[in-house]
Amino acid sequence: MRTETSAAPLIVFRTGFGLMMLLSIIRFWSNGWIDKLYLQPDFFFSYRYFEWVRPLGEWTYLLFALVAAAACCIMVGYRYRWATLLFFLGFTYIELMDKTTYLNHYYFISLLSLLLLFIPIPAGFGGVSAHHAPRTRAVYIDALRLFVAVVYFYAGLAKLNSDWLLHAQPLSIWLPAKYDTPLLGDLLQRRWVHYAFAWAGAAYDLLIPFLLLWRRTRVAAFVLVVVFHVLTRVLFPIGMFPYIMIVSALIFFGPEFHERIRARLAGWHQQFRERINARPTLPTGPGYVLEQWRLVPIALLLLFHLIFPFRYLMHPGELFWTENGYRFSWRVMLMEKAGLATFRIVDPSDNRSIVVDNRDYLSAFQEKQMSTQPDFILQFGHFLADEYRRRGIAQPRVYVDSYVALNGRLSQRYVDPGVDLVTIDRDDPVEEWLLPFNDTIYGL
Amino acid sequence: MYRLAVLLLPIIFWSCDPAPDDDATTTGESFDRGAMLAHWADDIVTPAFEDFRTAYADLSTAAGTYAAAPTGEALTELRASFTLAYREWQHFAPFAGVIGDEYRLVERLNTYPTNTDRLRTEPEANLQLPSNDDVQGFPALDYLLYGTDDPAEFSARISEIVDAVDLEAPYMAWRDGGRDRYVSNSGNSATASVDRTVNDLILYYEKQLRAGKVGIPAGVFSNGPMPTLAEAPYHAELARTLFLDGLAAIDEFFSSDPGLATYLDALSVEREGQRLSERIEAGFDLARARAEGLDADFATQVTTDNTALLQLYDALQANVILLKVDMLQALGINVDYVDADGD
Repeated sequence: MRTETSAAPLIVFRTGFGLMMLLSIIRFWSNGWIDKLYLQPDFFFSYRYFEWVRPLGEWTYLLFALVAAAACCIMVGYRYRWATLLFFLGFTYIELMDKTTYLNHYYFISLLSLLLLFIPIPAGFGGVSAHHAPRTRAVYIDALRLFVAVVYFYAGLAKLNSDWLLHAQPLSIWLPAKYDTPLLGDLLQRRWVHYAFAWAGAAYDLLIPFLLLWRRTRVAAFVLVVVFHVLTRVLFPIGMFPYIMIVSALIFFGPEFHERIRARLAGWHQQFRERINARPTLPTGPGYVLEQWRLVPIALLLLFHLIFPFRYLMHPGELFWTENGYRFSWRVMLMEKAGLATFRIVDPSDNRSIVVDNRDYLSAFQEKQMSTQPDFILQFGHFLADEYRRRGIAQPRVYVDSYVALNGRLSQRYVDPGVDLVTIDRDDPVEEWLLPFNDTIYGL
Repeated sequence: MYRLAVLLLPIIFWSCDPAPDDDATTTGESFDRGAMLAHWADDIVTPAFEDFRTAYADLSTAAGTYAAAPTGEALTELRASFTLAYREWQHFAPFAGVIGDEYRLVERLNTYPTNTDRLRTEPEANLQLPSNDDVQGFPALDYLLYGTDDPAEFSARISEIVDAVDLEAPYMAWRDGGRDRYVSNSGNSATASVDRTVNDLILYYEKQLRAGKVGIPAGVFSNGPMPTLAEAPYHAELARTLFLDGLAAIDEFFSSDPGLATYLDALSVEREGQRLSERIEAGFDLARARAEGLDADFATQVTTDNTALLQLYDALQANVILLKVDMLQALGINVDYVDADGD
C-alpha cells in the first residue's frame, strides 16, 4: 500500500475541480439564480435535521462570493486545506438551503470536496521541469478513482429497471420533445432510438469505470466520456455537470499524462509570477505527507459512499413512487414525474374550508417539485397549518387532493385525500399516508 | 424482496409481459410543430380576435348611439350587441395571452364580481388603472344594463367603459409582426410558442373556466354556494351560454387539426389502452353534457340545486389533471417559464 508516485494527478484534479467550481458559481450568479431561487421565495423546503439551514437574505451573495473565492484558492493551490474546508461548508450550506434545487451533481460536489479535505495535495503546481514533481501515495489517487467510479457504476445499476430497459422510459417522453435538436431532431422521434439510448446509457454507466481503469481501453473510454457528456449536454438542461464529469474522469489517466499538464500549469504559473515581479516561489514541499490517520476518514467516507445509496432497501413501497431513499444515491434521469397538488384547509369549528393557491407561497419551480414528492407535500402542509393558525383558525386541518403521473403512466391519486396532514409527523412512514403505486417496476 | 434479485434480473425481464400499449407505440414520422403554430395563429387566434373585434366595435357603436339618445329601442340594440360581444369574448379570451399579457385584456374585460357600489359612486374612476378592473368590462356593463332601475342614467358611463378598452393597438401589433414571431418561435424551450400557449390555455381553463365560472359560485373554494360571484348575474340568462362558449373554444382548440390531439396521437400517447386525446375529449364532452342540463343562470342554479354545478366542477377538474399532468408530461412541455438545471 505504501506505493509512492507522482502527485501530478492530484494537482491536475485539484486545479480542474477548482476551475469547474469557480465557473459553476459564476454561471449560477450571472443567470440570476441566487435571487430567483434563494431571495425571491418566502418559503423554503428544508432537509430533515437541517431545518436550521436557510438562505441569508442579501448575505447569500456574500456566501456565494466566499465559496467562489475558496474555489479560486483550490484551483491555484493556495491554502488548499482551509480553502477546501471553506468550500465544503459553504457549498453544502447552499445546497441545504432549499431541497427544491437538489441535484445529484451538487451532492457529488459536496461529498467530493469533503473527500478532498482529507487528501493532502501539494500547494501550487510544483517545479517547471518534470523532475520537480512532488510525490504522493498512490492510495490517495485510488481513493478519487473509486469515488468517481462508484458514481458511474451506481448510476448504471439504477438504470437496471423495467421502465428504463423495457419501456425506454422516461427517454421516450424526453427525447421526442427535443425535436429542434440540430441533426438529431428527426431521429429522436423514433422508438428504436429511445431503446438504443436507454440500453447504451445503462451499459455506458456500468462499464465506463472499468474501461477507464484498464490502460488499453483508457483513451477510447475517455473519448466516450466526452461524447456521452456532450450529448447529454445537448439534449438535457443539466448545466455544468457534463464538464465536471469530463474533468473528473481525467483522474483515471496515468502519471505521465498528468505530469505533462502539471508542467504546463507550472510554466504558466511561473511566467505569471515573473510578469507581476513576485518573489521566487519556494520549491513545493519535499514529498507526501505520511499521516496515517488520514486513511481513516477517507475509508469511512468511501464506505458511506458505497453503502448509503442502498438505504432504500429498508423501506417498503415503490422507490420511484415514495422517493424514500431516492436522493443521494446517484439516481439520475430515471423519472419523469408530473403532479398536481391542491391543498384544502378545514376549520373544524365551523367546517368552513378554503382552497389554497400554492403560488401564493411557492415559486413555479418549488410548486413543481412539491407536487411529486411526499416529503415536500408534507412540509408544505405543515407550513399551511401554521399559516392558517396565524390567521386565526385555532386547529386547522390540512387535506391535499393530489395526482401524479410517473414515466408516462396515467395519473393516479397520490396522497390519501382523507388524511389530515397535520396529524402526520415528518418521521412517520410515508406509506401510512401515501396511496400505493398501482403498477410494479421491476429491477433495482 | 424483488429488488434484491439482481442476479435474476434477466429472467425477470424476459418473463414479465411488457405493457400491452408498448408494442403499439411507434412514433414513426415526426410532427410538424411549425405547421401547428401556423394553424393556431391563422385559423384559430386570428379569426377569434377578428370576430371579437367586430362584435366589440358594434357594441361601441351601439353604446355611442344609446349615450346620444337613450331610447328604449337603442337599449334593446345595445343589450343585444352586449350579449353578442360577451359571447365572442369567450371564444377569444383563452388566447388573449397569445396576443400579449401586457394588454391585460382578461383582467380589464372580465373581472367579476363587479363592484356595484363603486360603479355608482365613482363615475370618474380611471379605467386604465389595475385597481379599477372591477368597475369596468363586461361585468360592469352587465350590472349597468340589467341590474339598475334605469340604465339611461348611466348611458354615458356605459359608452366610456366600452371605449376604455382599445383593441386596435393589440390587433395591429398582432397583424404586423406579432403573428410571425409567434409562428417562428417553434422551439421547445420554456419560452417557445407551443409551451407558452399550452401553459396559458391550461391556466385559463383552470382559473377562468373551472374556478371562475363554476367552482367559485358553487362554493368549492369557500363554504356554501356564492350566487353573487357567478358570471353575468344581472342578465340572469347568460352564464351557462358563456360557460359553454368558453368550453367550446378550448375544446375546438384542443381537437382542431393539427393541434394538441393530433400531436398526442402522433406521439402515440396512450394511457391504459386508450388514447389520451380521446380521454381528454371525452372529458370535455362530459362537462358539456352536465352543463347543458343546468339553469341558464348559474346564480340561480347554485341556489336551487348546487350539486349539479358541483358535478360540473368535478368533470372540469378531472380534465385539469389530464391536461396539466398527463398531457404536459407526454408532450414534454415545461411548466416553469424560467429554465433551471436538472439532472
